[in-house]
Amino acid sequence: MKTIASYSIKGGVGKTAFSVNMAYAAAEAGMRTLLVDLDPQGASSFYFRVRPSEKLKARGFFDRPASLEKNIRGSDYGRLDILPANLHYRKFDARLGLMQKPNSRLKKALKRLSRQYEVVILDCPPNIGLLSENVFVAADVIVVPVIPTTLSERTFVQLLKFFADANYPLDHIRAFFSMAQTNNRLHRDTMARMREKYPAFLDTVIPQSIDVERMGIMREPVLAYAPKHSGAQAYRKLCEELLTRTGMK
Amino acid sequence: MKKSHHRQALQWRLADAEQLKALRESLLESLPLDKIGETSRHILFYDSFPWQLWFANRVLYREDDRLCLCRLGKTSIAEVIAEADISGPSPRFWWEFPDALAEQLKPLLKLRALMPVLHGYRISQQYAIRNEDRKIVARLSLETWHRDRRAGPVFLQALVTEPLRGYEAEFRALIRQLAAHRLKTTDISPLHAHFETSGQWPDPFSAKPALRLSPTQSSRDVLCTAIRASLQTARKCEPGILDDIDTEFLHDYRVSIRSIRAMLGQLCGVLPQETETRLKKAFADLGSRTNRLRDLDVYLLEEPRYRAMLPARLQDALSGMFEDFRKQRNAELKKLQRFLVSKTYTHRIQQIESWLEKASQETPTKPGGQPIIDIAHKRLRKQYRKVTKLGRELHQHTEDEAIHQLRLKCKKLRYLLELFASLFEPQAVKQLLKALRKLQNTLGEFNDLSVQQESLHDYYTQRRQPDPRLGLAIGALIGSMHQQQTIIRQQVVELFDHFDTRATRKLFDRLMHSEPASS
Repeated sequence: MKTIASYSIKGGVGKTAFSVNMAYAAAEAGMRTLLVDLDPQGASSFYFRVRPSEKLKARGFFDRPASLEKNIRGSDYGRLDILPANLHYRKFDARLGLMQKPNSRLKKALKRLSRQYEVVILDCPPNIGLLSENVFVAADVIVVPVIPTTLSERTFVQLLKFFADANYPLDHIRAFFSMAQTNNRLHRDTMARMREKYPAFLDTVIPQSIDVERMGIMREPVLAYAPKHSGAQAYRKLCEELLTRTGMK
Repeated sequence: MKKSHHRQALQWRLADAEQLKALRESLLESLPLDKIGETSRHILFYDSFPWQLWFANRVLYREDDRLCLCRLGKTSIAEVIAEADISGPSPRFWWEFPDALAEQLKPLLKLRALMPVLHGYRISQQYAIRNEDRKIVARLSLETWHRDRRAGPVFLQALVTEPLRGYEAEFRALIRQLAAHRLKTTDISPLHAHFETSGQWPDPFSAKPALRLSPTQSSRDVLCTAIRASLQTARKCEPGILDDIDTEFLHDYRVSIRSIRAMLGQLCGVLPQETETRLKKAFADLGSRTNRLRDLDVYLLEEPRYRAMLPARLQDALSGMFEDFRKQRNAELKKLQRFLVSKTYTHRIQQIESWLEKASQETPTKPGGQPIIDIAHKRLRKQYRKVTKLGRELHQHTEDEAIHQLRLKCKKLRYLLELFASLFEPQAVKQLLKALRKLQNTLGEFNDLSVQQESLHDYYTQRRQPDPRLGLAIGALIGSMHQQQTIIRQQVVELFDHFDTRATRKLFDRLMHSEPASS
C-alpha cells in the first residue's frame, strides 16, 4: 500500500481538487483506492456526495480501528472508497497531544487497511501541527500544490525548512503548479524561477480552469464529468506522471 | 462473480417474462432507479467429450481474453482455481495452455481436447439506486443469458443486487422489497441453468460400458447385449474421428471393437457357427482399418519422449521422420474418415445388427442357452489357469514371444472380468482388476518397446535414400529401447510373482464363490 498526501500550509491552492482526481485516476488505473478526508470542512467527501461520518470522533479515528473501518463508504466508482470527514476532526491536534508517540498514530491507523487498498490518498487540512506531522510520517509521497505567486513560494520554502529542521525526508516532497494562468506573465516567470530552484516540481501544470471549479456544482471529479476537457486532461497527466515517478506504475 | 468488501452481491432468479413484467411495473417504478449502462458479453464454456471437467467439479470459461478455471459448487460456480490471459483462439489441449492452467488441466484432461459446450451471451442492464444526495447506495442489474447468439433463446434471467460499502442499511431495504415480490436468491450458474432448461445434463462416457447382468440370463442374450452396447459406444466416437478432435476418439473406438472381438473369441459357440464367423470377420476388418492410424497417433504423441531419449546433437535428426509420420497420419485419417461416411460402412453396421437380431430370435445353441453364470465360471477359471500356467514358466531369459503370449492371456482375462463384473462381488472384482493392472501395464510397456523397435527398424530400412544422421538417431533409439526392455523383462518376472500369490489365489476363489452386490 502506498500513501499519497495532498498537503499545503496554505488554503485554497487546489489540494482537494488534486486529491479527488488523483483518487479517481488511481482507481480507474485498476488500483484499489481509499481517499481519506482529513479536513474537518469535508470538501472531498462533499465532492463524492458522501455525508460526514458523524459517529467517527477524533478519538475513534486513532484508537478504534473497527470504528474507522465502519465509516468507510463505497464511492459511485469501482475500486474507490471514501473515508469522509466531520467537524470533530478539528480536535485532531488536541487529541493527538494526549497520546503516546503522537507523531505515528496515523501511520498505525492506516496500517490496518494495507490489505484492502493499494493506494491511500490523504486530503489534509491547511495548517502545520501535530496532524501534519502524522501525515509526514505516514505518507510515502507528499504532494504540494503551489500557485505560482510570491506568497505561495514563501509558504513552500517554509515547508522545506520545516522538513529539513525536523529531519523529515525531503525527497518525499513533490510539488506541482496549480491554478496557473499561462497568459499571466508573473505566473510564467515564477514557475520558471521555481523550477530552476526546486527539483521537487513535477512537469505537469494544472491550469486555472472553469471546468475544475464546476466540481462543486457537479459533485463529481472533473475526470468523471468532463474527461475530455483540458482541466481533466491535465489531472490525468499529472496523476500518471506522479505514479510513474514514484515507481507505482 | 463479483465480490464486495462487506456483503456479497445477490442473484435473484426470475421465473419467466410474466414475473419480470410484474416486477418492472411495481418495484422498478417505485425505486429511484437510474439506468447507468448496458453491456453485452460473450462467455464460452469448455469441456471435453467425456465431460472430464464437469465430473471433476471444474468449469473452464472464457470471457474476452481471460480464461478462468473454477471449482463447481452444487449449482454454482465457486472460487477461481487458476486464470490466465490469452489472445487468439482458445487452446484445446492442456499442453497448449499457459502454465498455471496447464498444471491444473493436465491430470483432468490427459490426451483429451476441450470443445465449446455452451456459447452464452450475457446482456446486463445496469441500474443505480441513489439517495437524496444523488449518491449511489446500491447497484442492480437485470441479467439475461442467451444461448448460441446474442438474440438466441433465453436460458437464465436474474436480477443481481450489489451492495456498496458503508450503505448496508439501504441494501437491506432493497432486499426486503425484492423478497416481498416473492423473488428468491439463487447461486445458480449459467452452465447449470443451461442444462436445466435444455434438460440435457452431461452424460458420463466410458469406452467400456458397464452391463448389469443377471446370473440366469442366457449367455446368448448376454453376448448379443454386450456386443450391441460396445458397438453403440464405438459409434459415439465416430463424430470425434470425423472432426479429428483428439486421438482418444479413435482409441476408444478401437477399445470397443477389440472388446467385441475378445468376447466373440472367449464365448465361442454361444452364437451359431455361421453368425460367429461373420461377426468375427466383420469386426476384424473394422479393427484392421484403424491399426495404422493408431500407430501413427502413438508415434506422434511420443515425439517429445523420443527426442528426450537422444543426446541434444541428434535430436533434430528425427524431424524428417516425424514429418513423414504427420503426412502419413493425415492420409490415413482421410482414408478412415472416407470409410466411416461410406455406404459400405453403413451397410456393414446394418448387417451386423441384423445378424445379431436374427441370432437372438433363433433357438440358441447348446452353450448359448446356458445361464451366463455357468459360462462365466468356466471361462474365468480356464483363463485364470492359462495366465498362471504361462506366468510360472517365465524366467529372466524368456523369449519375447512368451511374454507376448502372457500379455494376450492377461488381456483376455481382463475382458472377461469386466464383462462379467456385475455377476460377482464388486469389491473382489475391483481388487483382482487392480492386481492385474500392475502386471498388464508392465507387459504393455514391454510390448510397445518391441513394436516400436521393429517399426523404427522397418522405417529406416525401407527408406530409398540413406541418411546417416537419421540412421544414428534410430540406432540410438533402438539401443536405448532394447536396454529398457531388458530391465522390464526382469520386472515382468518379479511382478508376476507378486501377482501369483496365495492372496491372489484366495481372492480369485472368493470371487468365484461370490454373489453380485444387492442393488
